[in-house]
Amino acid sequence: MTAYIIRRLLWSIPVLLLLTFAIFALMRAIPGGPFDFVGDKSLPKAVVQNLERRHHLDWPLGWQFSSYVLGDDITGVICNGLSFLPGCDAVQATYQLGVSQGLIRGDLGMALKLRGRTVNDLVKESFPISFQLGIISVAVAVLIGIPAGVLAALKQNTWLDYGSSFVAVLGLSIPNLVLGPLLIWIFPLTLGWFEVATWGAKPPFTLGLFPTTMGWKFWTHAILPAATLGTGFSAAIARLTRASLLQVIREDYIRTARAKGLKERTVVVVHALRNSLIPVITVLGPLLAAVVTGTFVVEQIFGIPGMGKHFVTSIGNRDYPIITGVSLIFAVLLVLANLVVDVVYAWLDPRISYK
Amino acid sequence: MRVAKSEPKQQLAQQPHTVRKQLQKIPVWGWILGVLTVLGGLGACNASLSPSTTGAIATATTVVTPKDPDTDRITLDTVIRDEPPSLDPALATDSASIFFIRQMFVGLTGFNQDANVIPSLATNWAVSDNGLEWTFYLRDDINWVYRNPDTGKFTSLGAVTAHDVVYGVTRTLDPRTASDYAYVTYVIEGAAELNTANPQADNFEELLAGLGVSAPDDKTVVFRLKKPAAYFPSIAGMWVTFPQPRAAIEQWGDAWTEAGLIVTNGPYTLRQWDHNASIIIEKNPLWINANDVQIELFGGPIIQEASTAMAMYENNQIDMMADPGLSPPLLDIERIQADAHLSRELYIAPRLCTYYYGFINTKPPFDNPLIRKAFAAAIDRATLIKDVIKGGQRPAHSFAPPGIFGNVANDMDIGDYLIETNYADQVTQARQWLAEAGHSEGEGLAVVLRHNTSEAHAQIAQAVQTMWQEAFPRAQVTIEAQEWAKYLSTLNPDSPDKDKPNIYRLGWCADYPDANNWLNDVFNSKSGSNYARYNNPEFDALVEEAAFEADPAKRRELYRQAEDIFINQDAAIAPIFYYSYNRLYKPWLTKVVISPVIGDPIAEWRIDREAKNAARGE
Repeated sequence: MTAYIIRRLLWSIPVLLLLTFAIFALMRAIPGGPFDFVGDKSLPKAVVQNLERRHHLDWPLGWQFSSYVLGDDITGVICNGLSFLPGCDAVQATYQLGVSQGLIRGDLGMALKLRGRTVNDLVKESFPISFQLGIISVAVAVLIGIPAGVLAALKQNTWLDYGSSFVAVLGLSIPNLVLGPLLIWIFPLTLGWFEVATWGAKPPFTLGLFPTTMGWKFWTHAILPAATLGTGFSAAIARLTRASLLQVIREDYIRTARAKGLKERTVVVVHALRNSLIPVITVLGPLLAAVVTGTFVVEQIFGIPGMGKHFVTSIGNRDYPIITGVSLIFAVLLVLANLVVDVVYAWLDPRISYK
Repeated sequence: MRVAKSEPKQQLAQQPHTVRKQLQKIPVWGWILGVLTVLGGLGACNASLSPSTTGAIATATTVVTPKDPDTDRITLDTVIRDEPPSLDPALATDSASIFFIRQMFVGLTGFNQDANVIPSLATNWAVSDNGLEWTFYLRDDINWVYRNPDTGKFTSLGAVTAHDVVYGVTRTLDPRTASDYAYVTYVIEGAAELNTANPQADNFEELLAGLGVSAPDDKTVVFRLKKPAAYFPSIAGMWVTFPQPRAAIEQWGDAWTEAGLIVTNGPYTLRQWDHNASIIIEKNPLWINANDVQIELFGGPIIQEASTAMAMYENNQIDMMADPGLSPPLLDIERIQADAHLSRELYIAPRLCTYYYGFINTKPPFDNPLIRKAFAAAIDRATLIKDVIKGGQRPAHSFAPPGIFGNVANDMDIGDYLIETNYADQVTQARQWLAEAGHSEGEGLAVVLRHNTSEAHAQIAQAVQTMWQEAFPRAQVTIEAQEWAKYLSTLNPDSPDKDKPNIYRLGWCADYPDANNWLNDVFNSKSGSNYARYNNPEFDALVEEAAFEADPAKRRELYRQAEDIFINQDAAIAPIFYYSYNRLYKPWLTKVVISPVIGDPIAEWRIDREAKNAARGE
C-alpha cells in the first residue's frame, strides 16, 4: 500500500509538470497580452516593452518556462554556459532581475497586474479563506446529505422519501447566485441575524490555514455562505446515497446479515452504508479539491476574499503567473484527493486492494 | 474588466456594463429588493450636497497621538470595488487606486469641482515666453508623514521639497519602474527618450540626467518641455507627477506602499491594507488643514458585487454607494427613484467619459464620410438612454464631454445632426446621405458592428442595430462580440484592417481634464489610440496648434474648430452619450464634495455622527 502511494505521488510529478506547461503555453497562445491596454486605452509600445522586460515576457517561451520552473539564476547559468542556444542573449540581458526563484523552490512567480505582489502572497492570504469556507460547506453537505439519503432509502416510497427528494431537487436546482442573495435578504436584512458580507477571519492564520479564533463572530460571517454552498452539494450527496444504498440493500450479503438475525440498525450502518458510500466518496474527493480552492460566485456575493476570483479575473487580465499558480494548486489538490479516494476505497470495500 | 482589475481605467469606461452584467446574473435581487421597499424605514433623509471652498490655513502640529479607541472616531464607511493594483503614484492606473492616492498624496496642482486646475503643493506657476519652460513655486509647510502601525503615532519626516518632485517624475519615467502611465508626461524634454531606453544601454545615465525637470532650490521646480503645452498645469496635477518619498522607496522597494511602511504627504495616510479584503485610511493630524478635516477614518471591505454593497447600504453598514465603492445597481434605480427615502439620497454626477461608436475610417465602405454621417445620425440617443441604458446620461454630440477644458457639449452647432429634437428628421437626413453615397436605403451595405463581450454593450448594440435596420431596411447589420483583450488587440491601429469590424464601441475617460487628452491624444493620426484610423491633416494641425496656444480663449476656439471638422465634416466617430454616474449618500453625510476628476476630497466632507449612530442603533 505504501509503495502504491509513493508510486502514485511520483507519477503525479510529470503530470503536474505537463499540466503547468500546458496552462503556461495555452495562456500565452490567447491573443492579447497583459500589458496591451489600461482600461479602454492601449499603451505605447515603449511602455509595454518596459513592463515586459520587467517580467521576462521578452524572452522566448522556452526560457520563460525555464525561469518559471527552475528560477532566474539557474536559467542564467544555463544560458551563460550554453550561450549558443537561441534566445540566450535576451536571457543574459535581464536574468539578474531575479523575477522568479522557480517552482522547484516553491515560488509561483510575480503577479503581472498587482504591482510588487507575488502569487505566493496571493495564495497565502486567499487560499486559507477558501479552504475554511470549503471545509465548512462540505461538512454541511455531508452532515445533511448522507442522513437524508439514508432516511430516504430506508423509507422508500413514503412521504419521507418524497419529501427529501423534493427538497433535494429544489436544492440542486436553485443556483447559488439566487440562494445567496435570498439568504442575505432573509437573515441579515429582515431578521438582523448574521453579516451581509465579508469573512470573519484574516491573516495570519493558525498553521497557515485555520482561523485563530472561531467564536460566534466567525460564524456570523461563515454560516450564510457555507449554507449557500453546502445545500446544493448536500442535495447531490443525498440523491447519490439514496440510490446507492437502495442498490446495496438488495444484495445477497445484506439478506444473509438479516437472516443471521442482526439488528436492522447494525445491518444498515455496518454492512450496507459502508459499501454504499463508494460512489459518494468518488464524488466527494474532487468536489473537496474544487471547493477548497474557491468558488467564484459565492465569494463574489458574500464579498469573501478567497481564491475563487483569481481563477476568473486572472484570465481576463492575462495575468499568466496567477492563473498558472492557482491552477497548479487546484491540480495538486485534485491529485491528492483522488489518491485519498482510492485509498479509502480499499478500506470501504475489502475486495479492492492495491499492490 | 476587473472585472478588476482590475478595472484599471476600464473600470470607469465600463462602469455601466459591469454593474449591469452583475445584475443580469442576479435577477432575483430586483424582486428581493422590491420587497425590501415595503419594509422601508431607513432613517430620516435630509441630505444636501453643498459646494465647498478650500480655505488654505496652515496650522501644523508636531506629533499627535490618537487617544481614543476606533469606536469613538469619526468614520466614513464604504466598500471598495476592487483590490487596488497599486497605491504607488508612479504606477496606479485604475480609479480605485487613484481615489486613495488622491487622499494620501498631493501634487503640484490639484483640481476643483469644476475640473479646473487649482494650486496645491505649488502656490503659483509661470511659463516662459516661448512656452517651453514651466516654473512651479512650492509651499514649504507640507510634510512627509509616517504612521507607526504599533503605536498609531504620526511622525513628520520633513517638508516636501522640489527635489521630491524631481525624484517622482524621474522615477515614473525610469524604464525600470515600468509605469503604465509614464507616456502622459512625454511632453517633458528627454522623457520619451528616457522611458524608451534600454536600462543596460551605455548612455542610460546621461538620459536620466538629461530629463527636463530640475530643482534650482528646495521651493522651485522647473520643467523644460519638448514643445509648448498650455495644458501642462493639468499634467502637473496627475498622480504620476506627484512628489514621491525617496527614502521609503529606496528602503522598501515595491513594498513601500504597504500599511506600516508607506510615507505620504496628503490629508490621509494608509492605516490598514488587508490585500483583497479591506482598506482603511486615517486622517493625518500633521496635515496643514488638519483642523478642517472632520472625517478621521475612511474605508471598508473590498466588495465586488453591487447588489451585496446595496444590501449593506440599506442595512446602514456603509454610508455611501460611490467611488471608491460601487454605484447602486442599475436594476435598483427605478425602485430607488420611487422610494421616498432612497430617492432623496440619490445623486447623478457627470463623469469625464464618453461612450462612442467608432468607424474604421480606412475600411470601405466607411471610408466615405457620407456613410459615416448617415450611420452616426440614425441612432436615437434619447430613446437609447431612456429605454436601454437607463442611467440618466446625456446624449453626446461631440467627443470631449462637459467638464473638459475645450469641450463643445453646449455648442449645439457641433453635431447638431446627432441630436435633433425630432428623431425622424435625423433619419430623413441619414437616408438622404446614404442615397447620395449611392446606397439608397442601405442597398449593398453589409456592416459589422463589434463590441467587447458584455451584456450591457450587447443590449446597446442590439438597440442600435434595430435603429439602423429601420432607417436603412436594405442594409445588413451584423453584431459580433469579442473578449476584451482580443478585441483591443484586433482594433489596434497596427492590426490589419481585414480583421477589423466596420464599427466598434469604446469609451474614453479623461487622464487629465483638457481637450488635448481627447482630440489630440486619441484621434491625432499619429496616436496609438486612434483605433478609427482617422487621418485628417487639417484636424491634426488644429489640435497641435491648440496644444501650443497659451491664450485659453484661442485654445477653446481651436478645439471648437477641431470638433467641427471631426464631427460635422468627417463624422469619424458616432458619439453616443457622456457618462454620468449614480451615487447614494446617507442623509447624515451633511457635506459631500464631488470632483469630476477621480478622487472626491474626503477631507472636505462632513458627517453627522449622532445621526449615523442613531440609525445604526448605537
